Amino acid sequence: MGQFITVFKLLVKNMFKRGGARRSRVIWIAYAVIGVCAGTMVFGLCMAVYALAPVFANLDLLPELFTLVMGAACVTVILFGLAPMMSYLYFSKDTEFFLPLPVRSSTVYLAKFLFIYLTEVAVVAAFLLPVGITLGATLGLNALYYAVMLFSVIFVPAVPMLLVALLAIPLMYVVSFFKNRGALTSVVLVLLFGSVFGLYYFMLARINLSTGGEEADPIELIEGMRRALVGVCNLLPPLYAIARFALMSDVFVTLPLSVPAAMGANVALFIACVLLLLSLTVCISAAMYRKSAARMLEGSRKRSALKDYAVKSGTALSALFKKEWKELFRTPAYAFQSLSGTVLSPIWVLFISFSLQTTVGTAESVLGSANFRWFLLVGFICMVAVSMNMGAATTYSREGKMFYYAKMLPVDYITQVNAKLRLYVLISTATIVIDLIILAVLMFDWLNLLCAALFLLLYNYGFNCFCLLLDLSRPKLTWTTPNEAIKNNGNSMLTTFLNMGISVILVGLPLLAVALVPVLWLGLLLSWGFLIAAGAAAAVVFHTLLFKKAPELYRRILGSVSTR
Amino acid sequence: MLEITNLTKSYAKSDKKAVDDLTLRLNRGEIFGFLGPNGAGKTTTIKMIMGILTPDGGRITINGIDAGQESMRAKKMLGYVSDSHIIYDKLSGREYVDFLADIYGVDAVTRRIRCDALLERFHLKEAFNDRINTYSHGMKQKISVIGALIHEPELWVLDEPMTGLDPQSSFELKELMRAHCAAGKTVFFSTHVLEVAEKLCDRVGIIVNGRLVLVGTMAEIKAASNDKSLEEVFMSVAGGNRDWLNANG
Repeated sequence: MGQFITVFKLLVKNMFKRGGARRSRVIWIAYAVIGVCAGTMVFGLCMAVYALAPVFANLDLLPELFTLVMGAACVTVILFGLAPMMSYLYFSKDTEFFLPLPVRSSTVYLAKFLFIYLTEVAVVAAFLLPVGITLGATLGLNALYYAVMLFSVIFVPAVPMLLVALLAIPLMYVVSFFKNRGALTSVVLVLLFGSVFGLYYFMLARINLSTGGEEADPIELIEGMRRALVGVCNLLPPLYAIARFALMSDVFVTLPLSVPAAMGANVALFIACVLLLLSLTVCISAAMYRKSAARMLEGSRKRSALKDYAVKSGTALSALFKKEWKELFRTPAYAFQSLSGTVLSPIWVLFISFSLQTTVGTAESVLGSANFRWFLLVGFICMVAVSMNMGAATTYSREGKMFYYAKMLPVDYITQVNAKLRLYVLISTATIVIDLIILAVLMFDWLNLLCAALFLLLYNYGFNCFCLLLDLSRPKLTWTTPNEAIKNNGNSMLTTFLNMGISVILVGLPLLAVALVPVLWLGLLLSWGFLIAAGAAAAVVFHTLLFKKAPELYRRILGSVSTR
Repeated sequence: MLEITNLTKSYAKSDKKAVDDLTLRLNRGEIFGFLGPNGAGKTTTIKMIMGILTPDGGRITINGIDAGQESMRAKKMLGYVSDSHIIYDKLSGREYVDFLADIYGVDAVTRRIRCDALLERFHLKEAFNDRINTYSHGMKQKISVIGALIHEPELWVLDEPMTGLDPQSSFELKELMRAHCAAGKTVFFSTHVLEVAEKLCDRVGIIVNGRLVLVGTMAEIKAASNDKSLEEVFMSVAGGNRDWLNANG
């Protein structure tokens, strides 16, 4: 037990000691931004529950509402649980550290499992407590409800953890195949978002199927909704059971039981499910932990035989480009921060364009028109495809103490800038092109497509020039881990938020023009004209500034950089 | 103290034996230098001693305890300084050493005495409360040594310990090894620095392609090689000169 606590304490200390006393202002701002975003989301959910709770209560659907709230908490566990499950258990880097110590592997495993579980409890608490309290306060629910809610916070993570443990297995093999943690993170994210969207569409489909569409009469509609909600809740028996217990529902599934008996049956079902799921999760993840530890220790010596060795020559520019690309791709933190947009943005564009076609207005209204959707999606692409590539905004920071290397190379600074610029423009361009292909397939319109392409490519070039210029003006060259170079870097945050703001303004104004100008072709002409002009201006101005100022900025940094 | 018998290991994805029928016996109170070219099997052997890798065949006993059968008892007698950096580098030096002391069950008074002495020796007192990821390579190596010695192990195993140490720290480490042996305990370390092995070790072993090709005291090796230096002997055997081996037994 003592060793278990010691290992657990080690994991906790290592987790929470990120910055210590030297935490910079930027990190605090980042935490504040994340806190505000998460807070806003939870606040929005609380408001939704506050508005919907009386309606659900009138329809006698309170257990279903509470089940859905807990179900959403389970989704957050899946979203936040996969990465720790993989990094702490399936891709554990500390196997070699623990194995020589006189601690049993099972003790280390259990400490890690408890650690992961408690982080998920914290995630569920952050989500479920405010939303649950809002539900309780809105309807004046009794003490039993609050007690069960606290009980649920502790035990609800056990329900989706099995899914997390199972989902992580194929992911582990996929990632082992690529042997790149950058790929790992991208795959995890794609899967996470895919699952969330899949669940969302599944629920929508179920509700649509049960309500019988817009033609149905209100009573039919309500009955259909009830059927759909009960159907969804039946898929989550432990959550449904504890929700029914909390709200003292008198019926347990279809059995004719008295209230106390039904409550007993509900709580027994929940506890039995939790115990069963936890046992299965522990068995599966422990087996995978042992297997992956063995794989990592045994499988690291594979060498590919040198079959052919071709010597190729190239220019200094291409050599610098290749070096930049390989360093980016082979450093997981860098690869993720620069390339995840290329993987995720097309998925988001796909889902959002589907959503817009089905949920925003009718074809006759302005909001439902194809042009409106084009501008909205171009704004979205502008926001994510360009923002998510943080490569340009951190390229000089990432050089760190090796920046002096730039001075040693017999290559002029302009060529060095050029190599970097080409790479990051190329990454965002690839993302933009993939996104536009999706738009072209889903809602082809040659005029919108051509104008969107022109605007996005010009803007992308200008924005990347700006990012390079910014990072060259104020690089963060002192860091200890690659993550710090890119995550705790004011430049990446500044450019991300700036691009988001610019995207909203650039696309918000034309949206207004299309909506307000009575003549459609004039509205379109003005809108695209404005966007393309803005993109071209950004490209010209920042290209000129970058190449004019770069040599001087290089010299300034090299004058202050330490070569130790 | 340490007895390795017919130890064999192949990696899962390789046909080649990383360690091939290695037999070796270390005596109490000696410093043993484990030499060999890159990829010869030094680290694999060390990892098997430490219980990180499971041998395909053979046996390892530490003070008569079978490391395969009673791994926990065996591990309590070992201290390890690995060639890679400390993974939990967000901890401070103090927290790291405390963690290891807790794991090995070293009481607070004893750990304080041992820690103070080692910190003094390595001039690490001022940085002890700082996070390990702010340390230089040499400082990380020193904290790793302090962690490995906090329970005064019977057998102290070090994988390439001199890498990155300044001359003073390197000297202190060698002194520590000598002191450890003087206390009746054993040191087993791998190194590429032949001069260190020549001056420090009571015995050395040279491993090439997984096979232990030479074991002996410095005097025995010199006698067998017509008074050649360790470097010349190493170059002869590690460079694949089997004639030398045949000629000198």
